[in-house]
Amino acid sequence: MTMLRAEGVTLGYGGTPVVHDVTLDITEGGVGLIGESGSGKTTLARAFLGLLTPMSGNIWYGDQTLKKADQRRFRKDVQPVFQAEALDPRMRIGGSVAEGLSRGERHRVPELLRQVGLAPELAERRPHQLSGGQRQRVVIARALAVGPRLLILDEPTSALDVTVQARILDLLASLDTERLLITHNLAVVGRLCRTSHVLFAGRVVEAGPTAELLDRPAHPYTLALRDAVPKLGGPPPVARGRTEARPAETGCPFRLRCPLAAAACERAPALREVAGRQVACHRAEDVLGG
Amino acid sequence: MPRYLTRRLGQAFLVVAGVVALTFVIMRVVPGDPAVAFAGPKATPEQLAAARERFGLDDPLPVQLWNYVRDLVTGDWGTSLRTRQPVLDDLFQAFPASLELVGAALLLAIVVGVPVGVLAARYKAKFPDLGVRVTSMLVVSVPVFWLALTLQTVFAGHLDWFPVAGEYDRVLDTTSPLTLWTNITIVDALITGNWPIFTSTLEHLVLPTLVVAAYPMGVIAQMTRAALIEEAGQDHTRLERALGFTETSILTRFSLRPALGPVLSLIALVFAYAIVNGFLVEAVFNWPGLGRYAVQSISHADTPAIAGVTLLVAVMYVVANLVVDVLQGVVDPRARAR
Repeated sequence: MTMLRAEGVTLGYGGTPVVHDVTLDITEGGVGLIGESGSGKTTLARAFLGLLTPMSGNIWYGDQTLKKADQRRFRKDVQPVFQAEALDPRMRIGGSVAEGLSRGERHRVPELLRQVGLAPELAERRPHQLSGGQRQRVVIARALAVGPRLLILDEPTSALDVTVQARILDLLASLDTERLLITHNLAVVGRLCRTSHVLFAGRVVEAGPTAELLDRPAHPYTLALRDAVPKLGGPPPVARGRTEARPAETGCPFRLRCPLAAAACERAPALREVAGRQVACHRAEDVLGG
Repeated sequence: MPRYLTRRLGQAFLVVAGVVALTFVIMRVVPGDPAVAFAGPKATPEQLAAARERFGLDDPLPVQLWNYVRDLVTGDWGTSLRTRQPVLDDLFQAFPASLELVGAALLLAIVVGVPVGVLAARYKAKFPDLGVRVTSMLVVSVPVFWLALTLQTVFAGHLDWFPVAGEYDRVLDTTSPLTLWTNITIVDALITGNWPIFTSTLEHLVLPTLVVAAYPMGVIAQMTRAALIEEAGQDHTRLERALGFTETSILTRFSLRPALGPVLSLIALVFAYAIVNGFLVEAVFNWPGLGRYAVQSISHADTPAIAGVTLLVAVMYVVANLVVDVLQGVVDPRARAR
């Protein structure tokens, strides 16, 4: 079932579009949004949270557009989990967790803290008195307080060390909620999301089952992302193409970085079905063929 | 909190010690011999020697500094060369009137500046914001003496809505004499129920208060706006929006308190600025405060009085900063850790 759907959504700031004509369903099993900094992941997440109005296209919440939907229900259903630094540094932990609760529900704070593996006594502390992992758990507890059905996770583990990261991932995997995970960390998305969308320069360049995308990328950018991940005991990560080049303004936005760029790439590629996923690349078959 | 307070008190003490050293130097380097200024230009060598002896001017500098500090601590801030009164007595007479004016001005600046800043932040880049920004820029940049003279000419001269100058109608001293408690006229009039002097002081306060308040009001409004807009961009504000709080609710429930931190610091700064601005305003409105006393002392090269005013203003500045630091520690617990 699709709880949220972006349909032909273009998003921008001050009239300048940064996300172009994206269509994306948040389906069961977790959806990942992968891409480098500036690719438009967080902008898209803000639109899904109703914090940014699309320049064109619609965000659908069930059978209604977000604009017309019951806001109270939507806010209860969809909650964000940002990085641990998103906590108000001046508020006590208990106060932060209780922000979305009514006065009569505040007795639930200890229970919520326990649910994310924290001692209820921490409610009296302030964020700077907690470790990064503990703060991240508080952010999750805060989101869970209103009983959401979908969590929008924006780089929830990127500021944490790997051992703490693993425990937070365990916690997120154990929660009975759907999730949209925004990350540049392919290992994290592999763990939490059944399907993934790879964004480059505000466009979806590849979308499909996460395992397929990571095993056999069909877009040179997905391949570049995968090969840039360092592996323990393996060869050093590979930087494919000219990683510093800006996205091209015409044709395929990735062509100035792409080692496989050809004359055809001067035409903008549309998303098409290739090997069980959607790819926006004229050379997808060549990428799959190695 | 006690450690934070001790650290701040220690820093305040160091600043005051620095100002004491500075005022001591002022008294030694300003042109003119204090002994001549005290004994008069026609004094005999014997009278000059007596004056030198009296002020300890023949002692070595470290001894003079030690004596100066000891006298300050024991309440002897020297004798004014102009009034022949102890400087501390003169200051105690003039200070309450300045405090009355600056206090009224700061109160007005905060009461108007903060809500106006909130309004501008709430309607950022819309008409109310534009209006607030233009107005605050105007009141911040207008020269204080020009504003004082203009208001005086228009509202006291042409329209005759307010008195031209003074603290209150001095005729009332005979018809309705004031019993002094705090030496702050408006407070004493209120405490003792002396309504003729209370209303007269209020009327006299309006114009100078507006002039002294103009600059603080403008900067407080701008700072409140800037701090709220910065707060609105924080991640925790996004979380609050995602919980469904309205923009007005986020501004007043969550953002205003942290935004008041920088505003509080600013208030300490504008307090000092208002005192100095007040000197000019007191001169224009003939307000019987520190400013008028300082101007008269400067024109008579009355170095003990000048040093006394300098020291008092510095101490007030330090105390204001200390109060703000403590309040910031309460508003923002991270300030205590810094």
